Amino acid sequence: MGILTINATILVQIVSFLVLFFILRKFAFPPLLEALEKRSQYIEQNIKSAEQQKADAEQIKAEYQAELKQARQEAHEIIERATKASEERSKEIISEARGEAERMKKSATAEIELEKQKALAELRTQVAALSVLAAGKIIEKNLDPATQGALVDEFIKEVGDLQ
Amino acid sequence: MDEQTVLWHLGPFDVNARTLIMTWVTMLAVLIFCFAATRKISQTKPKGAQNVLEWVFEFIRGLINENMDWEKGKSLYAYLVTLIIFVLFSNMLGLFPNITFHLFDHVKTWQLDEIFSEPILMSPTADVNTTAGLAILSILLSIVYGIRFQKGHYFKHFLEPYPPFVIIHLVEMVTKPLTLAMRLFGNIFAGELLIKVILTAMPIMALWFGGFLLDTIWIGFSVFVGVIQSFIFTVLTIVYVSQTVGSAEH
Repeated sequence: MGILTINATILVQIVSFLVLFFILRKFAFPPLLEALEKRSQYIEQNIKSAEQQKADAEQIKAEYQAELKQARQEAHEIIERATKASEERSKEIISEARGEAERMKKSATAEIELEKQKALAELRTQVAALSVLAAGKIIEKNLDPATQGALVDEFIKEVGDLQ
Repeated sequence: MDEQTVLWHLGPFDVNARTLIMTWVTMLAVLIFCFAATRKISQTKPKGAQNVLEWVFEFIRGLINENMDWEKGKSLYAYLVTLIIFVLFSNMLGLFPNITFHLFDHVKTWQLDEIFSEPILMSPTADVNTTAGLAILSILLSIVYGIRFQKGHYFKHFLEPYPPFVIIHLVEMVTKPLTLAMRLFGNIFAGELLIKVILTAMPIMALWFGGFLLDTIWIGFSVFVGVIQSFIFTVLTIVYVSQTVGSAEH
């Protein structure tokens, strides 16, 4: 009896294998296949939602960046405006101060001039009065040379006192 | 080496008793494994047997995808998974020592004493009846799928490129299952034969003192061969079907 003898065993083997196949297909495999299917769906869903979230996050990031840029620009503008305003103000203040100083200087000069005129006028009156006085005195006394000299000295002295 | 076949006579039919018993053992093992793997299904955290079986499923899915349109091949999914698991388990069974411990030595019922007389168990695939049966199923599948997806074109391809080629096509029709069956049978049968030779032809003292190493190495190699052969058988089945459904090109 050779090892290659084919007999009815072949039919039994085919039937046995098919029975095994049908049992497994009917009872054992469905839950596993279902689980595999569900898992692949679950993973697909997760990937999809992750992609969605990533897109959302990117959009939000872009929005934030735009906002930040705008805010920065605004801040820059505000600073620029403030700098310009302050510069203008300082120029104004300086020119005002300069004008004030000019004015004060001018008024001071005018006052000095006025005082000077006043002093000169007064001096003039004094000198006239003294001249009159001196003339009177000369006329009053019959003058001898000595007295004349004394008078002149006195006069000069008085003038010196005045100045 | 007296490789004797134990026959059961069922009316006019003879069947190889040892092959049948071992097939049932294998079927039981496959059933236990598959039901253990699918008993507590975890959708998110697969572990243990479930993980292994899932890997087998994914592996077969990959093979089908590589060879044909998934829509055409998905109805083969469960069949191919069953096939690879069954053939793999069959190939492994013959590597087990005879674990009946002479329990059936004097049980004449159904010739159980003769069935379990070998030093090792037997792979159902070490019987050409099993491998031929599976190979016939494979070739039938390829014909059925060819007709289903190609309709009349399937029969026309026998006459291509020229009508005389019908002879070659018909020869191919026979050689395909023949090689499929002989390859698996030859590999597994030879592996088991050598184990039996090592175990019975060596003096018992040699076995005790290091001789078992040879057996160990050979069993290890046989495990490798068994895995590879179950893979080849399944892949070739897919390839034959994919050739007839005519979508080898993606």
